[in-house]
Amino acid sequence: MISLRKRYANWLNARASTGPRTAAGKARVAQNARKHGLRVPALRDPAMTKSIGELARKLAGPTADARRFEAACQLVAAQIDLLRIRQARLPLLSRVTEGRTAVRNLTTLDLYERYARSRRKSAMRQFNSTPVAATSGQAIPSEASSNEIDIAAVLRQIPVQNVRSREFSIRVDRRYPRLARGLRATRLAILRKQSQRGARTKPTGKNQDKTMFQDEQRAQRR
Amino acid sequence: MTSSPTGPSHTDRAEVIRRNWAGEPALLHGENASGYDELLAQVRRALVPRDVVEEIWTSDFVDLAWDIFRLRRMKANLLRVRAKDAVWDVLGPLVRNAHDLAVKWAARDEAAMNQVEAALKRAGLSMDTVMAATLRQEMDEVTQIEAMITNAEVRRGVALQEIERYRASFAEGLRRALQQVGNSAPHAAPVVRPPPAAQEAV
Repeated sequence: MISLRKRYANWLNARASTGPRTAAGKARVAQNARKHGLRVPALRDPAMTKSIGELARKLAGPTADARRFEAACQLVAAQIDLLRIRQARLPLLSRVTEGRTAVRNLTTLDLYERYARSRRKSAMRQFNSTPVAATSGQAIPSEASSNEIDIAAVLRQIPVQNVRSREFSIRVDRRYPRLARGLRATRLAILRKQSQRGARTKPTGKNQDKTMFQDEQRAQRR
Repeated sequence: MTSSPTGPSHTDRAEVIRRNWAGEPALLHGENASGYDELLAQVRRALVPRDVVEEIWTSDFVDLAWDIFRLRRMKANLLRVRAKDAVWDVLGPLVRNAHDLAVKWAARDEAAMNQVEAALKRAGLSMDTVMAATLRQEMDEVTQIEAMITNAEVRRGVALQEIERYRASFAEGLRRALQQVGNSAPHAAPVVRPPPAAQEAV
């Protein structure tokens, strides 16, 4: 068992040495906890901002003021959110009878869908209430929307990133086989070590639910 | 050149708008695409969407209606699939090889089905008991699916309300625009007065 002092030293060392340093590395690890990304509205996703802006500009019309353009952005982003959620629901729906996880995840997505629908409803109302600077009588110009405002196309571009990262790892495997082998061995070693590690906590005497580090207990005993 | 709201060119344009805004129909493997199209056509005939906003809400309405059907079907399928465990549970104290019997019963084995029915009958039970046990086991999931169905029904109602609201505000806007035109050009519509000769005669 490692002593408390050694663990503290390890912790200090780890703080000083680990973690990505490059911007690319930081960007990559920032996505470590990402599950599906549906919690984050499309409007906050830098990858989509440009597409949303272009679509909103077409939707609002060339002579639209800032308020109308903002409402158009909100509307397009909310619609993208809804489409993303709908796409994410499909594989879960096909697995409903297989396990309990699918229904639980569907319930979570249902909540996200509620938020997205609420955003879209208010965006649509705001968009319709803003004055149309163009001479057309309709709130949304149908002619432009029918061909140019293709919101579904934005989503078709998204999976490219995942494919790219997968392709990158395949490329690394092919070009640097020794490095790839080493990485895999390291990962395996870490996993093996983790699996062999015993329980580091045990229940305290008073409350079975509460646990305490064994080192701390040892320190108390002394 | 204008086309009627139900004409072919309008339908094509509406389909393009729908696909651009709502993407491809979200259908699962094995679902009937023609059924979805039929539902969409029926709803479109009933609501007659006139522009993009109405197309969005109409498409929403159809998706939600389809979702409700799908979730109801899934609830029934879920109970049917999980009934095997309930058969095992119920038959456990009644017969010796309950698990094997439940597996064969789930595979629709004729002999096993008769055996299960006979065992249940001997104990004064029926398939209703099995379904009740299934429901008890799957109560959490069934409740969650029910909640999703309710949410979808509410959203479907909201879609209709939004179409109504949009149409009302659109009509109000038109009325206001007409009023403005009337106020700015008071002599545009000439007041009909009797000719001077007729006035003199009166």
